[in-house]
Amino acid sequence: MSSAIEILGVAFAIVVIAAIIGYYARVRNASLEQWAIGGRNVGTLLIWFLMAGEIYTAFTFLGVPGFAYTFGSPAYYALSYGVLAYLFSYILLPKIWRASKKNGVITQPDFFRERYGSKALSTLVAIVGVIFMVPYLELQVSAIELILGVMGNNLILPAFVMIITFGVVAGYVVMNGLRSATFTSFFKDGLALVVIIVAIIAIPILRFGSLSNMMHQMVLAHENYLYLPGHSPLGLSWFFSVVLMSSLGFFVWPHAFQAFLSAKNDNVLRKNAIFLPIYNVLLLVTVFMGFAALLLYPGLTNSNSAFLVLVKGTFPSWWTGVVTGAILLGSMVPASVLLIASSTIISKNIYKDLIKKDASEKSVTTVARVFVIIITAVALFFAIELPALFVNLLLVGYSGITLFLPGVALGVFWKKATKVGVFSGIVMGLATNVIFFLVIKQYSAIVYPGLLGLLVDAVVTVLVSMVTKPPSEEVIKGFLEA
Amino acid sequence: MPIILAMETKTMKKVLFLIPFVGILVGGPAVNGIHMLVLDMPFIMFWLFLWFFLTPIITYQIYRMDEKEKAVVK
Repeated sequence: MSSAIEILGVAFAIVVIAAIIGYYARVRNASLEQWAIGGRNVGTLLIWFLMAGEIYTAFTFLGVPGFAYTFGSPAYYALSYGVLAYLFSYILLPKIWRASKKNGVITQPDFFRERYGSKALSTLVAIVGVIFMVPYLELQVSAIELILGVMGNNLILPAFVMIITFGVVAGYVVMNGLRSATFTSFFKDGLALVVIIVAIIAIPILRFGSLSNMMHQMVLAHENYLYLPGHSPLGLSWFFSVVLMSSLGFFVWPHAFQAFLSAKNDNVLRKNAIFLPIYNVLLLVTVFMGFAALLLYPGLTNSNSAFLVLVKGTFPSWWTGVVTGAILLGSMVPASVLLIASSTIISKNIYKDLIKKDASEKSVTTVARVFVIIITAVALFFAIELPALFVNLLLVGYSGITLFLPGVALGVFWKKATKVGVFSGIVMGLATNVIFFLVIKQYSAIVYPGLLGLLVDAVVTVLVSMVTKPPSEEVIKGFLEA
Repeated sequence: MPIILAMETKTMKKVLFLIPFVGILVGGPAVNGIHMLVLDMPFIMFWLFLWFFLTPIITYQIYRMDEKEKAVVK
């Protein structure tokens, strides 16, 4: 009982510190552009943390160990997709950044509207984007709920946990906007790195004598977990398809898109892309943590909690509190970035572009903030009604989001890409995903459906574009020669 | 002659770009059959670990070529 109070007390203090940092970093009376993309003026160091924002999150702390705990080696996928995503971003992002700046693009649907001259297309992108951000947001929200549940024992009532979660996340975002999220990321990542390094040094030594002993125990007890397909039907081709899909989709997430647009210039993006893979290296630790939990605490009912249980069983409560605080931030900060992106898209690309064209900037900002609350509530609803393995939530999100890649990449590299082509590509890609996820799902362990959707999408986009009329020369110049 | 050189750099950049993709997506599954621990990691995990460092080296090479090209254009 008292340890739960101590753990949550320390964790709460850390969240408060983060909130104070966020509060001081915010811009007073922010315009939508400032709230959403930090006024396109974020420098190298902070952009680093925004671009790395995806790396050390609740998914890393809870999802990856949980995946390694349940299935073993398929969790290695998490080590690799970021690395390839950064390499890919080196080629793609600077060009998109220049085109977006030239054409006044703030959100991803803006990009589609300006490049392809079609509100139907930008609306489709807005709706699909927001829908597929919900599973990712559900992941973050369920993480908070899980952390408070495991660490708080029965100290806090579940319903109360929900309300706290809701209030904390939504309130934080409405107040602060992207600039704050960026500054908080700095604190969040620093803390996360310390927590991970301490975990990989202390846990093997305290619990197994050494990492080497621990891994030898794994070889003896669960050798099949260590190599693909692990304790699962997910084999080599699954690994290939999931890593490829995720690396291609990494920067077409609407929030990632908005995040890199906030860079001061395109060189910042190139330089960061070179070195960011090294920053991912500590992801290794999270896989080891899944294995450690498997050896020490087999049979957990919720594998997402593997790392939490391991930490709680190893460290004194004050340090467990620090870890808890770090993971809480690891879900709050990404959740706020997701919420900012999705609510900006709704207010700007659905409310202003379609419903109320003469809306003042003030009312657009208000709508955005109201939608922060609505979207959080939706994610919370799904977290309660449809709980899932965190990895699956993330991958479902990826499957939908990656469908934007042909439209984005061809938009800056191929002058023949047309609105009809991109529109039909996304629709056919979605249809493919639905068929392979829901109707003939027995193949999803062989090839991940999201990659098939992307493939169909790309082929359809190219073929249809070749027979339809591209937008005017001038528009194309603004994007291809940016 | 300069045109040929330019083309070579372009091809070179494409090849460099593809190396990590092949190394991870094809190389990973290819080394999965090797059952031994290296630095306490199963071999495939160790292989993927290497690319955290090889990829930046390769991207940096592409970056250097880009910078050189920029200098030539100027």
